Amino acid sequence: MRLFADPHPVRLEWEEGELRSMRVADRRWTVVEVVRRWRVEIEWWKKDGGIARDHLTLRTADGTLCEIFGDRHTGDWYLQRLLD
Amino acid sequence: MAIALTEAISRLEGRFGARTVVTATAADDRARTRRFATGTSFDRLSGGIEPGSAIALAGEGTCGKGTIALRAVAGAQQDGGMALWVDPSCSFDPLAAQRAGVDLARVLVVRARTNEAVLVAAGAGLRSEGFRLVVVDLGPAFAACASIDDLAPVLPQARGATAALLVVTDAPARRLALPTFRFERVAWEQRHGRTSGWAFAVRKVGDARDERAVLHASSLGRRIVDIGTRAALREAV
Amino acid sequence: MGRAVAVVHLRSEVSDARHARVLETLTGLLPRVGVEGRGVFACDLRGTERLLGSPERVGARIVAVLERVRIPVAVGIAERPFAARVLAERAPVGEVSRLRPGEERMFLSRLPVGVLPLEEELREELGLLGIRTVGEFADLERGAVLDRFGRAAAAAHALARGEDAGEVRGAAPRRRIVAKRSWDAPIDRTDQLLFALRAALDDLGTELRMDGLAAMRLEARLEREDAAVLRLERLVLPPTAEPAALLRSLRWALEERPGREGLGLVTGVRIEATEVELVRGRQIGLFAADAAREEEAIAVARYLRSRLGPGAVLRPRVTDPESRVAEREVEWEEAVS
Repeated sequence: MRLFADPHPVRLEWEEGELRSMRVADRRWTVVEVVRRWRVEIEWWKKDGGIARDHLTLRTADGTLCEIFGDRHTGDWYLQRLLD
Repeated sequence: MAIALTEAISRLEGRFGARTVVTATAADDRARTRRFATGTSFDRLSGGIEPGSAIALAGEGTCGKGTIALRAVAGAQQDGGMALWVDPSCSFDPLAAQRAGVDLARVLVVRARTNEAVLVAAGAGLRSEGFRLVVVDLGPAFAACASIDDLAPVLPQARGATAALLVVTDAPARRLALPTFRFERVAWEQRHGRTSGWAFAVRKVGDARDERAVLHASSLGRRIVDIGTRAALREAV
Repeated sequence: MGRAVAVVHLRSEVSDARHARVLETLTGLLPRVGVEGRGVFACDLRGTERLLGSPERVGARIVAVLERVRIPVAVGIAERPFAARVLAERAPVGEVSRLRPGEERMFLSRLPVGVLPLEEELREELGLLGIRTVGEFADLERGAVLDRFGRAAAAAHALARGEDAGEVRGAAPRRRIVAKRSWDAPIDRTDQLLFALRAALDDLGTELRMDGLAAMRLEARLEREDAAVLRLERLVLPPTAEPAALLRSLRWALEERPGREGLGLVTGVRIEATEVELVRGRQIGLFAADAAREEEAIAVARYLRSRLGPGAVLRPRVTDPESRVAEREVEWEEAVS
């Protein structure tokens, strides 16, 4: 399992509401399965709105299980974990 | 060749019973006191990890090499040893390490973010007598600042060192001659139509016996079940 | 953690054999052990918390190890050996007592002046002056104590006020233990220098062994043609007379010198064992082998931090395994400061 101390920004590519692929650095990973999705909302009472994230566990075509999250305040997505 | 995992496991479990831990074995008593083990079938392939040696764990994507590397750290710590984990991709997962039996108080993590820093850190760890294991985890290809071939300068330092050197890499060496264990994912495990784990096999590159250790990671990697090696399974018959 | 000294106070009969046994056990467990008196030992725990746990934990382990060989002790822990000793003398058998930083003076102040190392006569005189407790003695003006009562009293006064140096030191050897070498062709490379130092350390090791000693602290002075003398000083853990181990210590001292200045042209060396202890059969105690290894590991951490900068050499701690936010699962701290 890898937990990135500095999560890597990812760009997601959707097609008809389905997540098709994601880009990390220069690499494009085709998404084969969205294994899990869940939402985290904590400390919403704070001035900055606290933490509000959507998490996805994905399986990619090249055989990688990974976890990404989207920051609901900024709309940015990040690669946080790789399973190995 | 991908096989339906549930079918494979039930076949194996039906005949031999699935085991969660396989005790390491070693060739002789003298070696046993120096070598350390991961506590899995990997040890049957490797004969245990010997201080003063260097090996590579290679495999792409989700294949289990990280899991075995952490277990190697736990093995090295068994009799009080310390480990140095060189982490250029800054992706060491402490919770996963703890689950694999690693004592976090006995591991130093070095965020060596350049090729040179990796060489400095690995070299220092190998020259010292303070560590039993130095791991260089090169990280996923997209985040790597060094390839395994770039580690050539530290390899001579591994010989005769107090520590063993273990390199974790996506891509095996092209030029460096290093005993390499190749990790391959055999099949995905599915539960209620969703991926919940995977089975993986390890073999030693260039081994004439072509023996494989097979393990299964369930609960998305949180639990490891050791299926065994083909030799072990044959012996059990 | 700042300073912490654990004083181990042997209860029950203090024979030579018991005293030696406890000393041997403690030196097998801990890097710096001094003898404060018969059956009284001071263990400097500075810098050991990360490796060996809290001082209380170390104290508990000491009690447990000695209990197993039926030697009852009590342990007192404080910033300074004197306060730790007084605490240990008053602690129940088998117990570990600790004074937190800042509590020592108050603890001592309530005690009778007799706990201080003072001549009987002086104690009586103080009594006549109405000074009966350590606190009352401590409140006297420093200069006045020296003038009126002399140097010994002034030393006791410093103890009362917590102003003593409070060092636990290995003993200086009775004669100077020195090895010197010089060479015609200056050396400017580390590997060659280490080779040359080894020859000097072979001599030093012989000198140490002749007196039955192990070096606890080394001081090396490198004479240079083109620059000032380069001075290296290093604690040797565990203490040893083995040339290979002494060389390792000096190698680390060379690698860790600040600013990483160049070697220059080295023409000679003088190495002295400035602190020593008696060689004794080292028990493989709970921590001994680990402590030596871990001292090396910490030395590597320091070296790497100096090369790679802050934030590069870290130790993780799992703080909230159930956290729903991954970055809150763990805390990372610098392995060395």
